[in-house]
Amino acid sequence: MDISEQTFLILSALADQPRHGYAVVTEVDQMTDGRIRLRAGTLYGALDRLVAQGLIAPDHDEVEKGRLRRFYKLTDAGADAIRAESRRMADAVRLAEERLNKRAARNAPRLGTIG
Amino acid sequence: MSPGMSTLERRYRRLLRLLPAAHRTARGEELLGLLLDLDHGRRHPSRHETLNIIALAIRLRLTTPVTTTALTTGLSALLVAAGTQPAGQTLDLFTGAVLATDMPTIIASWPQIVVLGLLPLAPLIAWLCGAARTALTLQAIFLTATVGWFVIDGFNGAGMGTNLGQQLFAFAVPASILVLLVIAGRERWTAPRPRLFWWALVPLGILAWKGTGEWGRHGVYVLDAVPTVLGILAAATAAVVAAFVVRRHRPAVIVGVGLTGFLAGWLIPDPLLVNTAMRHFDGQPLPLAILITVIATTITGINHLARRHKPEVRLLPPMDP
Repeated sequence: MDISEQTFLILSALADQPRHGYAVVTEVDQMTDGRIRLRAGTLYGALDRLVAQGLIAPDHDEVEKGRLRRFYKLTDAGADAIRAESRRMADAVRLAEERLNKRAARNAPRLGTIG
Repeated sequence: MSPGMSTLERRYRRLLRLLPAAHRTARGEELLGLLLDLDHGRRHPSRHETLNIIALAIRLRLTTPVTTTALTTGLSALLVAAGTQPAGQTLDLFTGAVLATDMPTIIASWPQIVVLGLLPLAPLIAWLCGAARTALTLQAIFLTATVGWFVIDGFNGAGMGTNLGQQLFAFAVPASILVLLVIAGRERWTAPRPRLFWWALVPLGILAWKGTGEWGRHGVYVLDAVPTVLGILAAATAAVVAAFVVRRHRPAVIVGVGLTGFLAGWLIPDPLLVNTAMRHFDGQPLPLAILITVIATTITGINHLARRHKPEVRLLPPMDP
């Protein structure tokens, strides 16, 4: 299953431990150095969809400072999805680096051709 | 709302009323907590979050079971009305619309005429077979071709004297079908049930359009049907509004108000509304689509009522040998 970058980051944020919505937003912000900042509505919709797809599941609820915090955890299916996407991206990175190395080799000056 | 609530929380609670009630009850506090965490220190909701919540509310409301049923019923009705019109008019062409002296010309080019008459049925057939994306592709092709012809006619001067308002109104139906098919493909909607009802509307729709041609020729001008159509339109609107107001008895309201549309049509004064309506509705598929929607909604309402009042089937103990 192909997953978007946003989905990949949300699943990765839940990979090591259950987190609530605000913690997921903070984690994704840190993982991307501030490049991606999830909005509440976007995250809410994504969490809904990922629960329906079975990639994450509600873990437990807590009340902190009068605010309800629902914690989500990664399921086995979600972990498999991250692993598959990571492998796909790693293969793409390896192929790109091979081609860049070939390009560098082609453009490098040849010995004994100057003078 | 408690008195110790902050201004920001009060404003966000008001914003969250845009969400469907079921989502608000189940997840409202969770979303509110997230919004307050993200906008900590503000007095007003941020513009980005506000727009995001509005977009979320629209998406959630479009995908509730009631909205999905209403939109798929409306889409199917539009597809039937618009898709069967060319076929009905083609049938009418070969069965009385043309003078006997002109028939040889028509018969000579019958393959092209028949193909052009049947092609617009393709999106409807694809939709009823469950291929929403195929229906979308076909509809996009037909709309592009129709708009292209209109533009070319405009440049050639062939469209002189055309009522622009009526022409734009005519494009509203295929454009609405296209938009609804885009949503249907994205949300994986299917044609509503009962499927036999919708399949039966294909030949009936063709005959209905054939019938409008006969009416015009035999002196029963379509003008007489317009007050009924307007009455049905008013009743359909009233049914939707009443259904929102009286939620618990929605099927009964839809059935009751839908059927009164036929009676209300005879009470609307003529010719004041007739002339206004004829300018826009003459030869348009929208009135037939509305009629089909009201009939389909009435059938859905009757099904719901019958299911609600069905007595439970008790399992009888096996008879002793």
